[in-house]
Amino acid sequence: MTNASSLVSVLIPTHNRAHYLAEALDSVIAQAYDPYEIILVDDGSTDSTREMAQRYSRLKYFYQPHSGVSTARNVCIEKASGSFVAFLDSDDYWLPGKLQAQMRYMTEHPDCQIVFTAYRNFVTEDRINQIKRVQEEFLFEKQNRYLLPSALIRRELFDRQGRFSTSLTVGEDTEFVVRLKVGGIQLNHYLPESYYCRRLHGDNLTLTRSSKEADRILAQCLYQNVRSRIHRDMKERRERREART
Amino acid sequence: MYQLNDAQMFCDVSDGCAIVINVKTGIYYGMNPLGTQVFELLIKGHSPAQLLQALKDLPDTPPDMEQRLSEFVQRLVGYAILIDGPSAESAVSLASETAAADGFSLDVSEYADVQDLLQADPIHDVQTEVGWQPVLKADSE
Repeated sequence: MTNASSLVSVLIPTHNRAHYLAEALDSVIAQAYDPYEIILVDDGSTDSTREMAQRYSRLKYFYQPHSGVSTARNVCIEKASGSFVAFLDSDDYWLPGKLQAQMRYMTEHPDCQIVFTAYRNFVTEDRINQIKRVQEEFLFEKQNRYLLPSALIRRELFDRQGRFSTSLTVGEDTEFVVRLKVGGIQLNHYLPESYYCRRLHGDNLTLTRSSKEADRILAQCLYQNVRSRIHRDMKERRERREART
Repeated sequence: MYQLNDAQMFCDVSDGCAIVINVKTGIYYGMNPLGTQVFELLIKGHSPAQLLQALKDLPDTPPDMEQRLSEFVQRLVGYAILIDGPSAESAVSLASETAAADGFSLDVSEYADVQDLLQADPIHDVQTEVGWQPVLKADSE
């Protein structure tokens, strides 16, 4: 099924996730659609990530001094040779059929630039006692249709829309998706089947929907992307008004 | 008088245009330069009456300025951008060039196009200082 126009680069940025890495990598290798390459960018891990990576002969491993998730994602893109890219967070994994289903969709929808899928949240067994907390936060039921790691993306999109904002240490994926939306990219391509499994870190519930920090991040993501639109709208209004008088 | 509903709104001024983002709903608002000047004075506690007088002190103020101002304030209140706040008594003035360039129009536009994108994703949020999810003690065992 793979040909020159349908090469998929799997991009995995990571930082100190050696103990989850095998699960992530095995889920990629088990895909029926064989990706062209699997790129792992190690953002300054101090655990056994490098040793774990060496167990996978086809993995392209790149190490960088700790620079943050945005830089790691951007390095992934720089290293990618495929016409399509798919991110996988190193503590998550894919379900069988993900790439095949998304590549089929891309073939059937040649104008599609990015296709998302539904996902499942899960909690590691040793954290099962945290499930209740998570449920209380209603997050098991919550589906974000624009979860970036679930997406298959045409590589050229990054050339047109830019890379991840390195000024953000959090929310870089949200900011990128907002930028796509404001830039007129259709984001309604979505597979309702769950192909992505996202690990919930139960202790990491401090940033809730109501937290000031999360609000600030969301606002900054949006602000960066809507300024030019508002200036343009206001300028057009002024010109229309002047034309009338 | 009024103040910014900063529990819900993120606000900044870019090149003379106020941009207000409702972080709870994802709806955002943009104002033209005159609207921005008036808005900034409103959130400092100046009353609509003070602002109306400042507008009337400018040359060529249109006769329906009071109605324009009233509608503008009502919209800001209706959007929950403004809430009740303390009063300010200091004198106010507005730039005649801005008012003339904007034709004394007080514009605020509402945008809902990215509302569905701004669903916070708290579980997968990360430690702000390092930009990655925290490594929990039990994880490494």
